[in-house]
Amino acid sequence: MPRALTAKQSWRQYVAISPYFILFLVFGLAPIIFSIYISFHEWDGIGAMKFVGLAQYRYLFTDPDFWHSILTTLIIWVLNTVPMLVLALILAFALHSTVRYKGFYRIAYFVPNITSMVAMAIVFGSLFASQAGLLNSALEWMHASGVPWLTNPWAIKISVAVMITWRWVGYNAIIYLAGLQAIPGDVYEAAKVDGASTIQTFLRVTVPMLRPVILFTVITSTIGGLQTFTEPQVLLGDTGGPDNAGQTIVLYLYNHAFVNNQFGYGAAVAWALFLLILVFSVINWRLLSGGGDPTASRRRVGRRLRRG
Amino acid sequence: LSEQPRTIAAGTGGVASPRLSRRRLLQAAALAGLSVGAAACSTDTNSAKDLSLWLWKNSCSPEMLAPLANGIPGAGGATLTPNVIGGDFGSKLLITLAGRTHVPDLTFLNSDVATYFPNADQFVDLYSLGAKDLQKDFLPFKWNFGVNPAGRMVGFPMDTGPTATFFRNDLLAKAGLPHEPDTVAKETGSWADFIAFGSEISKAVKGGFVTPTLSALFIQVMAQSPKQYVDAQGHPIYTEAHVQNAWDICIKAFEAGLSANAQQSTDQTAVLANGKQVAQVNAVWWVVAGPEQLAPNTKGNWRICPAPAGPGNYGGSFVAISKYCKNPEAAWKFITFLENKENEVTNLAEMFLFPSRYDALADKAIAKPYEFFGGQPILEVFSEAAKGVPLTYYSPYDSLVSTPIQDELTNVEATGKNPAAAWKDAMAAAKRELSRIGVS
Repeated sequence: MPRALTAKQSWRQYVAISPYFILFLVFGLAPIIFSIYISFHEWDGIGAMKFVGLAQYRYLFTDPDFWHSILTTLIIWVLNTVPMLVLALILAFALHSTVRYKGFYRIAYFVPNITSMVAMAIVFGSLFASQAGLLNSALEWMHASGVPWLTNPWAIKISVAVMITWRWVGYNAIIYLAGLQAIPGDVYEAAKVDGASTIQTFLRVTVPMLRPVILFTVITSTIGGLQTFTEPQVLLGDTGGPDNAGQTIVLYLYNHAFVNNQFGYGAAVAWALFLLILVFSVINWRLLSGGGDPTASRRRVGRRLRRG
Repeated sequence: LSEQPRTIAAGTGGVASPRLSRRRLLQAAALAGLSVGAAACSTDTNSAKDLSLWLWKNSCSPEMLAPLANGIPGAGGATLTPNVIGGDFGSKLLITLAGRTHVPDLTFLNSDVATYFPNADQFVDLYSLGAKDLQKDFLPFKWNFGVNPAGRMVGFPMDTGPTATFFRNDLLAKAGLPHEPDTVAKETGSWADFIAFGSEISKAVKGGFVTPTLSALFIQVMAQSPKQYVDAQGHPIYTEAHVQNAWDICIKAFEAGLSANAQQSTDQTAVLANGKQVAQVNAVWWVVAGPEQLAPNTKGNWRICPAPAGPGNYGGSFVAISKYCKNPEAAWKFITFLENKENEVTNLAEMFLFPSRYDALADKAIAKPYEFFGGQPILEVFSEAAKGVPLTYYSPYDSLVSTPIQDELTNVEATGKNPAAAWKDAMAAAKRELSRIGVS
């Protein structure tokens, strides 16, 4: 049984692991704590800070635009997360069964995730433009009337959701694929022996076995969805387009902090967003977790197969 | 476990010298890291001999700045190192000023110069360096623009953005409407005339518009106004008639169907290139940023005449000396060199940056005919406009009022919002925003 090192003996080990903690302290923790501090102040970035107590938070909770931005964020989140995860799962299932050009398909679906956002904004801007856009030109060619993609409040939300889905579907598909590959083959064999069809296998074996992976993607896309910023900003500008229809919480934050130079208020918005993400993460966890150990889920799968 | 470091040291001992243990290596690496860090911090202690300048792309001729690396004329051997800052220039400058270190000696400031007025102490008062002696050479509106209400000169005039009416000579001629600069100017003497003429255009030219968006029109009307949104004493004046008047002009243009409702740049480029944008009031820099770059196929078809209801100014930049500058006298020498007549004319010729000096506005370069505009000497129109721009005070808080108003104009044309409701909402939003910073 080795003796525990005293602090004096083990300083080299502490030094060895210190870079991460020092960097985290300087670039992570310090700004976080500082943001709490400035959220109680009024600060334009250069001049003196003025202590205002809870005034920023009071203004925040009475600002109709803030509540509007929460609603906008949630709508865009639902509009992109649900189709994205369903699509990613189907894609992963297809990729898993692909025999030829495996690498090509995987890379092809992942490329949007690492494409420059500015380049994407130009492409999507010319896709969705109301009068000269590709989509509307195609619609008109088919004698349908064009959709004001970037001026109608609902169409704006759909456009932003499409852009997010396009960017993240491949990323989630790759994660699902990793999950799929971890499912032992004997479960599938058992299903086959019991005479399950492909759809039955997918719904009753694959999906339940992927539960922890699905939980992970739902939580990460919830956090990502609540922080949606780049897509509406590059597509619609700092105020989020007509009727602020694309103004998400983070865009609202950015607009106040970095366009209007109200850094105290921006910090208050950030903390409100933090609380919101916390609440949603807990809800997600409660909804999707439970029965975390794999034998339980395998038993459940067996039960369902017998019932089906 | 406590033996482990020694074992590793023994293990490597065979390869390297026995003294170079991992422990030593770590200590050496840590020391090296520290010294690199210290060196990085000390690079900022440049002498007062070399001045750093922050600028953004296309804000000044690079050829003009290049020789200054060997010495700024008359600055006793002091040199200049320009840094082109990409991305969001304003945010980066703000962050650097907030950090109080690595602040450039000199910086260009955009037309949001008033943003810095509450913190004018971050910059050297240019009056203290003798700027007053040069005031008579520069356009008064531009000079005033860079002076804060306390009389401290933050920004020195660089280029300007006088406004005028751009129109399609070919389309108007085909429609049988007045189409020469003098006749169009006569037809559009006031904004009411402009809207009436626009209505004739939209009848005669299929799908013809005279503004890309309502908010663009609003900007142009306000650019002519001697009063903006908050006065120099910090009192709100946005509830007065001049703002309501600008709004009403936009609503009339909307009701007459004169706006293209082109909210995205893709659509704005399209209406410009496909001939639906028949006329538009805009600043001089739009000559290049608009028709020349976006619609090269319309070459020779554009003309320019004075804007309705008089000239305005939209855009233009300034140069400032930060309070951290170690050699303000040399920095001042640079400014007077940058904004002498020859260099303003050079910047006009090379970068299409419109001058702010009277003598540069009288230079023969202004009389140059422009082929893209059918050989019209268009800069003469802008030169006359520049001399007539009214004095106005731009406050640091203007955008808190103008943004909600422009947003509501967009709502009117893009989402069909009732104009009266939109005006009410714009005023409420402006009041709310201003109440936070104590303007009421």
